[in-house]
Amino acid sequence: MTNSATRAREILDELSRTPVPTGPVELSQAYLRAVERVEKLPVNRARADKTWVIRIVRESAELFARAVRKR
Amino acid sequence: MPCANGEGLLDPFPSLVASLHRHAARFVLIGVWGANFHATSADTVFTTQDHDVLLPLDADNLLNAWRACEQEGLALQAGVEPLDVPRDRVLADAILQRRAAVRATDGRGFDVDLTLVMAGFGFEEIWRERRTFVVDDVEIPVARLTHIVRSKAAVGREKDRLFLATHAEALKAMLNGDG
Repeated sequence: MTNSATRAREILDELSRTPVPTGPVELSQAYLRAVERVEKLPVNRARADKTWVIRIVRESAELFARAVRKR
Repeated sequence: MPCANGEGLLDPFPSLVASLHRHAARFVLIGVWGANFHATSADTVFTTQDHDVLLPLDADNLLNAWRACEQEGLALQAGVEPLDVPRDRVLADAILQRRAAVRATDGRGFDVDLTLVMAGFGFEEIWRERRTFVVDDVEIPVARLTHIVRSKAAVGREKDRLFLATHAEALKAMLNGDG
C-alpha cells in the first residue's frame, strides 16, 4: 500500500473514532430571518405551482440510479 | 395532461396526496421534501426519496390516511414488519398511543412516512400556518419552512445538522437571486 493510501486510511480511522455531535442546534437570528424572507418570496406565494420540484428530484434520482462504476 | 383524480398523475406523490384529499385526511408535508417546496430553483433543491407526512393524533384521520395509501397500492409497514390487520380503530388507537410512525411504500423506492410527531411543534400549529402549493393540479399542504428548520434544529441528529448547514448555503443562493 502506498504512503498516501496508508495516510488516507489513518485519516478515515481517526474520523470514525471522532464522536459525531448530536442534540439541539441553536439557529442564529440571521438564519431565521433568511428563512422568513425566503418564505415571503413571490415564488413561494400560496398556490404556487411547484410541479417542477418533483420533476427535478425524480430526474436526479433516475440519473443516480443509472450511474455505473467505470473503474 | 395530468388530472387530479388519482388516475393518470405522472408522479406517485401527488397521486397519493389526491387520494388523501379524497379520503378527507388531514396532513401536512414536513421534512426535507417540505423544505424542497420552498426552493426557488433546481440548485436549491435537495435530492431525497423520503416523504414525511405529519398527521394529527386522530384515529379516524389515521384510518383515512391508511385507506388512501392502500387505494394507491402502497404497502403499510410498522418498523420492518407489515402493519397488522385488521387495520381498525383498535390498531389506530394503539399506533397513536405509541406515537409510532407507519411507512407507506411501493417497494420500488417510493416511501412515505406517516408520522405523528414533529419535534418542537404540535400538529394544529403546523396545520394552522401551513402553505399550500400545487403539483400536477393537486394541492399539497406544506409546513412553513420556519417550522421545518426549527424542528430539525430541535432534533439535531447528524443528518439534521448536515441539512441545516447545506440549507444555509441554499438560503443565500435563493436570496441572492442566483438560486
